[in-house]
Amino acid sequence: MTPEEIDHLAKLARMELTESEKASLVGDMHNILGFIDAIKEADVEMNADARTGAVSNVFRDDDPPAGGPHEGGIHTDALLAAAPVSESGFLKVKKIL
Amino acid sequence: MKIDTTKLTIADARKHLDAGDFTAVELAQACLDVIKEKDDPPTGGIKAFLEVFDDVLEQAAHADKMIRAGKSQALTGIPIALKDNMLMKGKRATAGSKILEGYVAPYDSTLVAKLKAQSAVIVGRTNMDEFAMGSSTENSAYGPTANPIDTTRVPGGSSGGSAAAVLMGAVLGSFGSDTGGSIRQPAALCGIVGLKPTYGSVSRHGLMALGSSLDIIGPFAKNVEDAQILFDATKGKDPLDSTTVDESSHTPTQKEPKRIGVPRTFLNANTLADDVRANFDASLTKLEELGYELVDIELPNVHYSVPTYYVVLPAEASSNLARFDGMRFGLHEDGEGLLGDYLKTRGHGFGPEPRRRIMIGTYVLSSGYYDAYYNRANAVRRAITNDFTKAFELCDVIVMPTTAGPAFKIGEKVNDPVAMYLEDIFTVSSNLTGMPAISIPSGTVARDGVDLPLGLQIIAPHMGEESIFDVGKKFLGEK
Repeated sequence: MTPEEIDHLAKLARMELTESEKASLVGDMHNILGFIDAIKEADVEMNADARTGAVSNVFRDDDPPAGGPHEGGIHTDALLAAAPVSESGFLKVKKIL
Repeated sequence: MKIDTTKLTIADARKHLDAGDFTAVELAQACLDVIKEKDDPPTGGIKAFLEVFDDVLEQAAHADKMIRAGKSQALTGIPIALKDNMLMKGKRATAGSKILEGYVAPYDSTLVAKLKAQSAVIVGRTNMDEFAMGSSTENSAYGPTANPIDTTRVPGGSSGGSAAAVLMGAVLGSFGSDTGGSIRQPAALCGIVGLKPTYGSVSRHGLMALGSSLDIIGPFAKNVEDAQILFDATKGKDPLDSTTVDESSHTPTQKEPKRIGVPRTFLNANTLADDVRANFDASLTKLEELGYELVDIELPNVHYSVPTYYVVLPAEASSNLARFDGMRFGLHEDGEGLLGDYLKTRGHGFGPEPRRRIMIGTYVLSSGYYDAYYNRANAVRRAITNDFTKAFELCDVIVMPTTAGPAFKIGEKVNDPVAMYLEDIFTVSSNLTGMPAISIPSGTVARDGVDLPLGLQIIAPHMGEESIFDVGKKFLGEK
């Protein structure tokens, strides 16, 4: 793991790292990746069906009463109360494009 | 009647409350007194709680009304604590992180809705490793929690606060979440009972997600009967969590468990201290004396559990933690432009362990590495699950130690991530398979002149909690 790879991953993760942290992360990631590399030795079937326990896909109807959208605006105030910056019932963020 | 909350079980409290021996308000006050004395005294203290709610006595008074009206249910008036990653409307929840400092939940988790429907008394939120990442509660952004048995040692993690709260008598029961062992390991280190239920048996709606295919909510209690009461009150299919399963969707496990599987090869491959191994062997002898048949079983891929987990978990966690971007809730820090806002908010809000795991998760999911790591880990996960399913053809439950040793000292492992990850060596497999597992107290070993508890872990097939409760109660001598 090189410092450049660390920078690339940090940018993908949208997370700013300090310089000293980057240095120690090189070591930490090296140890952790070395540890998880053990899975490469496992003799396993690669393309079987993926599940945890008995869960299977669950669908509900698109339309009421089972599904469909709730009445617009009924949760807006409660949710916006937590927003750091909001205005006129909207979240306010910096320019995206 | 004098109330000793360190000895009172939920089952007995129910009888006393219904008989009018004491009121829910008196019981709640007894808990608050314990918290004042042991958890948050002027100096020192266990620090299991991040917050004691200000309406505890009000909740208790409401419970008393229900009891007097003859409407009490299993948990009416029972003081309960919640891990800091479980939402309760109008209350703070921070997942032990600064990135959610001040966040107030806008809705009740299904867990809380069920507890409120029974008029349980929710006393407060307990300390945890940040975003449930850790095995000691030392990764909390709000400081560590001490083990009540030896305050120089950890209570385990990530649900260390919930475990300590039950042990010290601050509540009669509590809830934690278990993603890699975070209920069972603290239960073992604190000498109490901790249940990781079958994946999908308890709703995760309103539980802050860490690893969505691994997480499950479960109870801490003084004994198996209490753990069962708490589980029964909170389990069930939930339309708000599409990963929940119906009990009826499984063929029932054998009524009375008789054969106990022991994975000797796996145990022998791990260095356990002599007294820890002796403690486990003594548990096996006890089970034989109780009339169980011990059967050797093989789990050929189980030694890949921890490396597999540390691919799957960081991958899922890095995805789940992407929502903490400073836009809709939590910490917001200004940077240059929108990207700068993200970089600074997340750069300053997350502590060291989330950062490590987000980086690992990003790596294993990134282009060029996805197949070698994430896909391969899922294949190994399936192989481990198949191993357990096959083993359960030869036995009804499987036993292992919960941990390789007793509670370690605060500061001992916090700077060595891999050493901390190996705390989970006996627990992660049940999160990978989704199968239920409990830790029950199995005696003690001495370290520096202090007797520290160990746990026996009992694992059952999916939806096999009844078998676990059966064996667990017999082992602990419960009626």
